[in-house]
Amino acid sequence: MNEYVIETKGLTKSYGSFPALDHVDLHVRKGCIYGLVGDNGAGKSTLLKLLAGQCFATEGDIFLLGQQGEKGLLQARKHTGCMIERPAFFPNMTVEQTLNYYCIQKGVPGTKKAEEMMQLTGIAEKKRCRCQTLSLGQQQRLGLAAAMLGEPRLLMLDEPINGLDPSGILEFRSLLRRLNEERNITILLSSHILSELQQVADIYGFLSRGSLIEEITAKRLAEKCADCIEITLPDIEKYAAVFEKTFPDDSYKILPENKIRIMNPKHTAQTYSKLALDQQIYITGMQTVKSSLEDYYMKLKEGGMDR
Amino acid sequence: MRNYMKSELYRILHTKEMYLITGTLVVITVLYHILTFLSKGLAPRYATTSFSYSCLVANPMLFACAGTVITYFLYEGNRRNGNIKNAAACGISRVKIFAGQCLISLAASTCAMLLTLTVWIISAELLLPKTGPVHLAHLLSEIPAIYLISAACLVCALVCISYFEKTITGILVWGLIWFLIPKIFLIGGMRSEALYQAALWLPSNLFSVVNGLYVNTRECITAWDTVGGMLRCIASGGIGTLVFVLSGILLLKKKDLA
Repeated sequence: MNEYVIETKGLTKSYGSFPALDHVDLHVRKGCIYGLVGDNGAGKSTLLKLLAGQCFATEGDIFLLGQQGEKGLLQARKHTGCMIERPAFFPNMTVEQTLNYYCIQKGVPGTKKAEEMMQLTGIAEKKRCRCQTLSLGQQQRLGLAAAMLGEPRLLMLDEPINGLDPSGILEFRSLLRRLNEERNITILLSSHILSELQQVADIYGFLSRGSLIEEITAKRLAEKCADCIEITLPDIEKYAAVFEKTFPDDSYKILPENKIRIMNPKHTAQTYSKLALDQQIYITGMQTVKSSLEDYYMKLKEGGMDR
Repeated sequence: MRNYMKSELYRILHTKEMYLITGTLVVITVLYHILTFLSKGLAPRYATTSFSYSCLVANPMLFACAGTVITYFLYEGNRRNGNIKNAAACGISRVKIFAGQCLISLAASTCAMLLTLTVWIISAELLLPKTGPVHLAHLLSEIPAIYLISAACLVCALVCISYFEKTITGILVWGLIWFLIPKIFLIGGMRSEALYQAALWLPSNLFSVVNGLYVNTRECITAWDTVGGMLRCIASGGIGTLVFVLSGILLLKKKDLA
């Protein structure tokens, strides 16, 4: 059974001759928090707009909650909530009226749900305030409350922590986790603040210049970003052969410029240098390297990461 | 679509725009009649129900323009505020959004028109002497004649403000369609009889002197005086509405929301 709530095949969006998205194959598994990583202009918002039906694809297919085709997607979108680029509201309406408006639009009966969402997102105390008087952070909360109204199975949020203060970011992060764990809502989250994304996402998709260059689980990414030791030495092949025999549990990778990278080292740097000295191979450089998500993304963009 | 329309109705009833527009129209109407009443010693020819009604009977396109203004106030901010994106994102098709907007604008405009017209008639009947060639019947029979044309004008406005990225472009194109193109047809009609006949079907010519209509202090000949004339007005409005609804569906069906 297909467990993807979002799947795209060769999804392309061009504006004139400019390809904003180029044959993107995205896979968002049910129940996960998917972090969409990319620079400004990488295509994150375009991808989310295509999924939300705000734009139309030039080429390719979208499968949303197992449905495809124009009618299928319209049906599937009734079970999704989204906030793309910035929350939408009528400046002259109050927070409460805005949520009531969206309740009616989504066919949610009564005002109970609006109240519940105001409590959940922490905007209840502002219910009588006009939307135009809200701060950016409060607008983001209102946007999330509106997105959550129809009991969505899928949430798509574009840069949701923009404008939130540090405590707001913490609350938002824990709210996303709760929604994901308690209500089993799949969340597709885009951000260029990678350190934030790193704290909530289970799986990442890296977008660069309109192309999805990699999808990777958080676990695998953690392995790839873990500490490693890079040793520079003249006879790299000899050292690698002895290394493999001596430390069969360690994994390594040979890099250009006579470098060997020991991934997740299980011994100290001195142990590895002693091995070289025992074989009369003279080390010319040695360093401990730790990659952050930012480093990983930058390396990936430059095509330097082992995939 | 029903939910979308209900939500729009909720918005209209809970925001001040419609109340402000309708209120302004009503206040202008009352003030106009009070001023006319007060000036009857200075210009008695104009302080009559006939002159009051002739303001509307001689300018049927005022109804169409009022409907357009209401539509503009209701939906101009939609793209800027991003609300239409939310409607699209919760699975409402573009065609249903467009159709819902057309029906809501038409309903809101009809309510505003009926209220303003009622106040117009009551204040004219109460304050002014009932003399002159233009009667209440002319004004009342104008409503069915102009209704579909106003609907076409309103739908056209909705298509223009939804399709063009800049509101000013939308307004200019709307003006071009409703006021400049009919004039161009009329000028072209000087060389071609077919073009001239076609020009006479376009609303701003249909209600003008070129179509043999005279509404002044001495006579009142309107486009909807005869059965044929009335049918022509209704047909012109019906065809116009259909054309702009179809154009809206074609242009907005696959329109990206920026």
